[in-house]
Amino acid sequence: MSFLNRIGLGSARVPGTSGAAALRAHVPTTAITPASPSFSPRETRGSNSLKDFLWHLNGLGRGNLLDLGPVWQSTVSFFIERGFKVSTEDVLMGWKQFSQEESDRQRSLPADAERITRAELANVFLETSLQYAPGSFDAVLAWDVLDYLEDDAMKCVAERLRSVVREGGVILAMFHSKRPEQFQRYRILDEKTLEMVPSSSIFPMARVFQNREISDLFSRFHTSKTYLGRDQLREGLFVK
Amino acid sequence: MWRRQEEPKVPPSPQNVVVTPSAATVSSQPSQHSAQPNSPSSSPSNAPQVAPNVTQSASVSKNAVSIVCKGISIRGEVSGDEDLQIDGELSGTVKLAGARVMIGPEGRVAGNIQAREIIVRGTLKGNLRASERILMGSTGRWEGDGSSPRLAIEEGATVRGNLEVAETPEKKPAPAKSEKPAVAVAAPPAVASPATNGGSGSREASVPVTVHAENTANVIGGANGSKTVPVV
Repeated sequence: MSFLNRIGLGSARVPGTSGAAALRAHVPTTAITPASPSFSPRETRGSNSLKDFLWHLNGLGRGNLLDLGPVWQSTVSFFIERGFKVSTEDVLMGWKQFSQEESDRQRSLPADAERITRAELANVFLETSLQYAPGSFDAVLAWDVLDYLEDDAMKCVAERLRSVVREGGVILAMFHSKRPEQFQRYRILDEKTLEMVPSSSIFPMARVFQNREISDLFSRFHTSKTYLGRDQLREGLFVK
Repeated sequence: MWRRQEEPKVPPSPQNVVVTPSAATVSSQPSQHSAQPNSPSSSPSNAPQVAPNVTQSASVSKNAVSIVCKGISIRGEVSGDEDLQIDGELSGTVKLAGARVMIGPEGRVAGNIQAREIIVRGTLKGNLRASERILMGSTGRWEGDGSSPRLAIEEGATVRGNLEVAETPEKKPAPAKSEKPAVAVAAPPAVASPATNGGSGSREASVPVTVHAENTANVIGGANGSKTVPVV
């Protein structure tokens, strides 16, 4: 037994468990999840962009935050405890449901009926989604959204996000520099830690953004920062 | 099985169509929306405590639960002070200030709900205002705004709307004495300043600047990335 093992810091494993599992067993999964029915330890990730994001919101008081992912107890509690009013809208899921319904509707039309294009469809989608007044939000959590939306929808959603954020407001978004093995959701555990929740894929990944494309996407923002991790996940922070 | 009461002339309204699982009582008194017993001898004061899942038409008590069964559809306003479970469809406002409203997995509600505690396991389109808490079950789908002192969300719930924590209503100031409170208004907790920004507090410097922290090793490792570059 090595010295580290003797003092309790070694890598001695319980037979049948992997090293990663043994490591995860020591990682607190979440602090605020009173309503979660079941919980399995998941991968966590330190996030500098989240720290930066929170720094921009420091001292804001009662701010407004828009979360474009699924609703999580820990994320909602995190911001509500800081005095935020939290709005949630799962854009990917909304777009999926909307486009599916529209596809079904168009299939039922006669063959010679006029069809709506995908670009028009994206505009129609935004007539019922992300319906917020310009400058409504101090902060937006975009997570894995723009990577997964098809081109027309992505451009419309990005434009709408630019609109709903107030001057000085901040957007946190994730971009994959290579195609991930699995679609994942994110939830905030604390001020610098995200939990990555494996999830069933809603859409196949639409594109891998180049750095220049990300900059162009938020070119009207005052500040654009990205942090690239070893896992090729690029965290972007954009201040309007 | 439906059992009608003695006054058939009263038009059916949301208040008088309340269904319990076994008795399926139709109340004809609009002001008393809940399952009323037919026997005049029982009174609320000596009524036995009824379990949350009511299986028979019992006397009115604080813990009685009125249930809108699956297959029943109600349109209009529901008010009162008893717990309500909705497994059917309800379109309209629900005002049960001191009670609990639970929307079952099969329940569908379109309208605003005001209650002490609101549990959503079905589908809801409307605003919620709870004086105690809101619980979104894992099967719950909610579109609307919510305000409550406590908010619990199970994994798998779907929410589209604004969530806000309301102040607990029992906090009333006592103006009789002129003593100053020991602690004034508590400011909202501040968000810690990350080390990456050096704590300079220069967030007003909204000068166009693009800074990319490329290949800055793993973010997990700590304060990588780039600092905000002050531009004059």
